[in-house]
Amino acid sequence: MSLLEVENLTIEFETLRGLIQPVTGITFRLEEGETLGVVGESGCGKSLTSLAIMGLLPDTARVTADKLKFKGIDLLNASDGALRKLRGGHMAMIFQDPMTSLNPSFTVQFQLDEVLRVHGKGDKEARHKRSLELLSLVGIPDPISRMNSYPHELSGGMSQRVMIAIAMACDPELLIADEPTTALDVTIQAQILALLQELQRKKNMGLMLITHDIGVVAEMADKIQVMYAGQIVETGKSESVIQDPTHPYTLGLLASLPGAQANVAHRSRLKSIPGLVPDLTSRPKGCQFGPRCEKVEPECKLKVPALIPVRDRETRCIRPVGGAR
Amino acid sequence: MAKYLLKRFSVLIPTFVGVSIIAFGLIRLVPGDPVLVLLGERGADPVVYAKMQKNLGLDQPILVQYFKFVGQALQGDLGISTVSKSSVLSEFFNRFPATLELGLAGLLWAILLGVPFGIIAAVKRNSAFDYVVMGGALIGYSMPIFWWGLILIIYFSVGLGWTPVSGRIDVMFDIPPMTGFLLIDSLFSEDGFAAFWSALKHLILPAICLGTIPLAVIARMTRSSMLEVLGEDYIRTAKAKGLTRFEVVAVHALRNALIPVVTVIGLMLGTIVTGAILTETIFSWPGIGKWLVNSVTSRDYPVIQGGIMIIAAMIVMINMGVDVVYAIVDPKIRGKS
Repeated sequence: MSLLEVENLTIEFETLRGLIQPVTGITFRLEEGETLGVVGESGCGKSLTSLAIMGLLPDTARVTADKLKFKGIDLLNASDGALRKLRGGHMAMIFQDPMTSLNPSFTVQFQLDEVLRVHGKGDKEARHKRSLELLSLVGIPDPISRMNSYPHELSGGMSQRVMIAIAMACDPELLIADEPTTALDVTIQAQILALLQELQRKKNMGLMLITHDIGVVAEMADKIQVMYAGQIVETGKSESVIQDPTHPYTLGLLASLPGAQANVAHRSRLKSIPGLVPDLTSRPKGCQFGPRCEKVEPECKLKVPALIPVRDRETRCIRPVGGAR
Repeated sequence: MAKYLLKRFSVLIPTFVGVSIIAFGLIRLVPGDPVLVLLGERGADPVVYAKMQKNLGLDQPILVQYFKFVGQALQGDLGISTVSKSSVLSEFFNRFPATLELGLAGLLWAILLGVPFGIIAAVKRNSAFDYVVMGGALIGYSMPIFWWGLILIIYFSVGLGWTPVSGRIDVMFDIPPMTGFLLIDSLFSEDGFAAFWSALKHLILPAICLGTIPLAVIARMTRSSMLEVLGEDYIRTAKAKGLTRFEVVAVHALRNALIPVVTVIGLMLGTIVTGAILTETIFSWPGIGKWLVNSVTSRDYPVIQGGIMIIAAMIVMINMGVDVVYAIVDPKIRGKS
């Protein structure tokens, strides 16, 4: 039994301009102690996927799936009470902007204690001790005085550490980190990522790391899943995907990374993928990436390509690239 | 902080100069002569008239009268009512508890109903409840108070006979004044609970009438503030912690959503005094509002001037109090001063 099993997950919203499907037919698995990197541009459905797993989508969203299971528990049909027990207790999530993700009206102590209290982790004294322990665990200096701080008294990096402490409070088996470093300075980014990696190893958690920065996942993830317009376009082992991408979109993402040495030396322009992500109300025919693909052929426009096994992974392209290396 | 307070206080001086000119000038622009009102409709002997005019100080040039009024007011003397011959200040404070009791009762029901209604309307956005409450709030806000008061009287007092038509308490009760609040004083009187019950029954309709507009404002304000807060990231965090929907709303959302609502309630304390003028007149409530209306009819210049000055001072003080409390609560405002 996998920690997390997702099969054919689709999310729909009814909008004024008609029904949209920002996420269509997502399938993946996550094992204990494994790190899955989910990569894609803004609006590719990576955050929605994670919110669907946590059950945090607004009521207006329609979520369907052949399977959406956490440790064998069917998340789509579980009772509200059962889901609440899982949320914060067994699966936790940290968000993009730590500064707005903490409640400005409550102290760090309150917000940390609350999650322990809700999940019945000991009496007041035990929880206080545990809170201090957690703050030290995430590397907050002087935890005792920080306990009484309000969020506006913390820096972005500190806030994200507090968020991580809240997420780690009940030793969850699954941690979803939705762009945990996007709002932070580059130097702090590295620290937070290192912290996440360290905690993941220590606790043997499943970690779902969502990011638009393929460079970040290259270092941390065991598996990578590249998403485009609500679909998985390529998924496989992290090294193989990064070193030898099969989908033109993955190739484009990698090419748009500023290779530090190369660019300074040659002063070359950064590469970018031309065009924009498709409008969800009028999706292109056939391959979703077709309109932006350099290697597009008439055949690509006939129907949406299936996810097919290529070399040691799966890709959604009828003319997979690379393979020579 | 001291600089901030000083800045706020310095704005008060021009405000009060303006208010005093309006309070003094407005009533003198209205036709009618206080001397004639006092002497009776049949007119009077010119000698008696001149003597009375001199007694009231109305024979002097208008500027002299104004500066005399301001000079005395600065010393805490608002003059003597031409009708009752007692000091305006003491008359005001005799009647003020009645207005305050009515105002607080009106505000209380506005808060007790408005805040929960606003919260539920926000949480159940676009539901039938939301539409009914917000539609009702719009109607409540746009309804003229005098008309609403009369409708209440016709339906509940005259039609159903549930409550008395007017006054503060049945004439059979004689309550010695202690606090001035009849709900409290009645409990300590000989008649005890019977008197309290009578006072409460008299209070209900005027309080509902006076509280209707604040209720509408509070409900709408709570709803919009709540809706804004419910979309915040920290609400998602609270849900992700595994809190119940009730905890998310009652603990995490409410605390933040109530900040602007509390401000509005504070400012409303001022409008409730002005709203009381209409309500008190309709329900014959013996408070400041009715006192002022009566003094206009009898052209009692000192009462009108003095009364307006005191009410203006109270409203200005309340507004400033709200500002100061806000500066204490919100470090961002404090920082800017």
